[in-house]
Amino acid sequence: MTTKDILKIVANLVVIYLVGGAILSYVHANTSPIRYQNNIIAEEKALKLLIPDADKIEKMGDWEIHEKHGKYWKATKGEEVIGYVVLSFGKGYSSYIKTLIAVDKDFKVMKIEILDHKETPGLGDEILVPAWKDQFVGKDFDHIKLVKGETKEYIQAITGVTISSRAVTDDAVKNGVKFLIDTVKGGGAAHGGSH
Amino acid sequence: METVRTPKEQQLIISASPHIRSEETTSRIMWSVSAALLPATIMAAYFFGPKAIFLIALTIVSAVAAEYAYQRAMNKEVTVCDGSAFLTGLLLGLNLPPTVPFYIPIVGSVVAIVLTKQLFGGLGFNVFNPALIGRAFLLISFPKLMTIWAEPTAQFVAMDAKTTATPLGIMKTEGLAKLMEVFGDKVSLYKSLAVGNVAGSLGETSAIAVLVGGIFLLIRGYISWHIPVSFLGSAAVLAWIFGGKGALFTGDPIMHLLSGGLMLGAFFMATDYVTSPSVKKGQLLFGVGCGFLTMLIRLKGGYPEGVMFAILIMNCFTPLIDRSFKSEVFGAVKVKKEAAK
Amino acid sequence: MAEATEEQVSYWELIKNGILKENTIFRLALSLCPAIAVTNNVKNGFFMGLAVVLVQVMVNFTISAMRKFIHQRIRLPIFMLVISGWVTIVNLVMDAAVPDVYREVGMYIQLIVAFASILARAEMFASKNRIVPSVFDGIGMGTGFFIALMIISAFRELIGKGQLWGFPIIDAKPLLILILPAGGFFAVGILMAAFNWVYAKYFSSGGHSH
Repeated sequence: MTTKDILKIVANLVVIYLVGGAILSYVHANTSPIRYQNNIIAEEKALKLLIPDADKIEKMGDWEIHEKHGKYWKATKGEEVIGYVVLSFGKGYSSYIKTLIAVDKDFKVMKIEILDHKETPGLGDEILVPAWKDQFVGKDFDHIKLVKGETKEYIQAITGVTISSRAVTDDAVKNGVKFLIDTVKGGGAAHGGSH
Repeated sequence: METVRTPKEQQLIISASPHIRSEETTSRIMWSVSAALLPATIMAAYFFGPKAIFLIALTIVSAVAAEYAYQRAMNKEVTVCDGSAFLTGLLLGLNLPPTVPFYIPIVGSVVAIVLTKQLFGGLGFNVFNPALIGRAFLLISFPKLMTIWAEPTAQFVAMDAKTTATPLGIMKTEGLAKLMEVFGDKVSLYKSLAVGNVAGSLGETSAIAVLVGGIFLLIRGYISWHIPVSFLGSAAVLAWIFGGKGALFTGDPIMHLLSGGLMLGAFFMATDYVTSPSVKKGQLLFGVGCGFLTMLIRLKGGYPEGVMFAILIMNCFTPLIDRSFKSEVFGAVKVKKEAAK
Repeated sequence: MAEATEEQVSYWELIKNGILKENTIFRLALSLCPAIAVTNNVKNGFFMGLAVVLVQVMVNFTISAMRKFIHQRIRLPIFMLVISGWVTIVNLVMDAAVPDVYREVGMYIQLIVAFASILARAEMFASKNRIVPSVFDGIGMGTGFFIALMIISAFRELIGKGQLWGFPIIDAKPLLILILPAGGFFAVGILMAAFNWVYAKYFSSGGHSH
């Protein structure tokens, strides 16, 4: 290899890195605010759907479950706290099921929403069926429990999808609600004392 | 085998697996194995009613029809009379739950015959057991339909479609205590499992009926004892060691041996000539592998039963096992090369 | 392909070559991993295919424009840099523009970097040809890949789920295995056979084989 070759190779690489780096940073600078905004909009939309009555849903803090990053929020209408939302995860058959749970101020479930999962298509994804998710409405902590066979009191498991439905019920929702009760109830009780 | 061979002798000895037997022998074996399945078929009809016969017959007819149609369409010699498609259909039918709708056997047969057997070159060239691939395909495609089990009714009456879980299913989801609650005590559980008065696939429930057929095959010399004994033996030992709750060596090997598709798999599916090793030592290894995987799935996996996947996984290893236990053939090749020099 | 022969080939021929004769998936059997991984519904297949067309064209364009400037000894690292640069750009833009789709296919978009077909075209065609034919070759190869993904994903979603682009089409019990990874192999195998059968019957005999 001659000196000329070496110089050419160096020049090649320098130019490629400079031009490529410039283009990439330009694209990144222009898209990252949009991507950030997209995430916030998606999150706000999901939260709004869970508690449509709320005027304002503000973040209270973060927590950790299955080494995943969970969050929780407080929903208010006017001055009054009407509920809480928690982002929780359940360990399913082949993935962590990302679940949003909304509870009212007495910590009864108002609604749950499955945001993301990688369970077996056609089988595990039956946890997305509204009729199944609606079973959680109005359940308090003691009644969030998966049961096989007919039940109105508890949560009925989906036939053949026991692992995924257990992950949502006994893991994501139960631990999420428990976390809210443990963490928020102290502060919530203080608020409750005033009204 | 240690004697010095001349090239001419070797030409007679060397034979590549799979061994394709002559037409007449093949068909006699196929029909004999089918006959050996007769007791299991009769018990299926007895416990699950006329629908069992309908399902098994439909599976056989569609398997034979699929083979005929494929061979005609591809301008190949039509070999449906060798009985292999009949046997595949019969095995697949015996592996179906008694509640499936009519199109399930048809889809399964087409997959078993066309995708698994014919596309690989027909009888003797398939890598996997066709009936088992057909069943695996159905289980994955129709996970709900393929796991609805019916309570046996006995006395050949039409079913009232009362669904229930299989003993292994109860074991997996609710534990041994629940199983005892359902069957009373251990002896009556064993009795039900042996006779076949439990929920399960059509032909697998009656352990005795399958065993009778298996022993018939052993006596006639159509199968050797190596695979069934090592398969059942390793499964029993593992069930005994790890099957119990908590402590080791507290498991119930008899219950595991009698339930599910273990008997049917060990005698009729793992011993398939084409997809299992042809060397005796290799057959022992094959059987132990099947037993190990079966118990691994039963005790630790998501499915209650693991015989099907265990045999299919071991099918993949058959060429490797055959090759590693056939070192004398490699030696022979070397000698031949030297002789050529 | 040498510079001399390429002059006689029309641009239309270049595109047709990518779609039929050298179809990445069905004829060359390259990049089969994404062909199975992202094709369980049409929407994913569509955007993945689109991303590949874009990356292939831009990479071919860039490599061809730089071909006289690149030193032979480091051409492959430079091809890789160009490819990963364009993939990153497509990745970022898709994340910003179609976030819903990106959530599904984002992971696979990044995998385009490792596509054998893209590097192969950069090496075999773009680095030896002028810009315009290279761009048309990129369009052809990308479109071939796109069409293959669309065929596979339509087949799998329709039979596996009874839907197309998420809309219910047939109200039958679907053959669920087709949207699972194992079914992806079945689908690609069956469609590859069908494609080659049609190709052999109607296209390959176009003038020279008989």
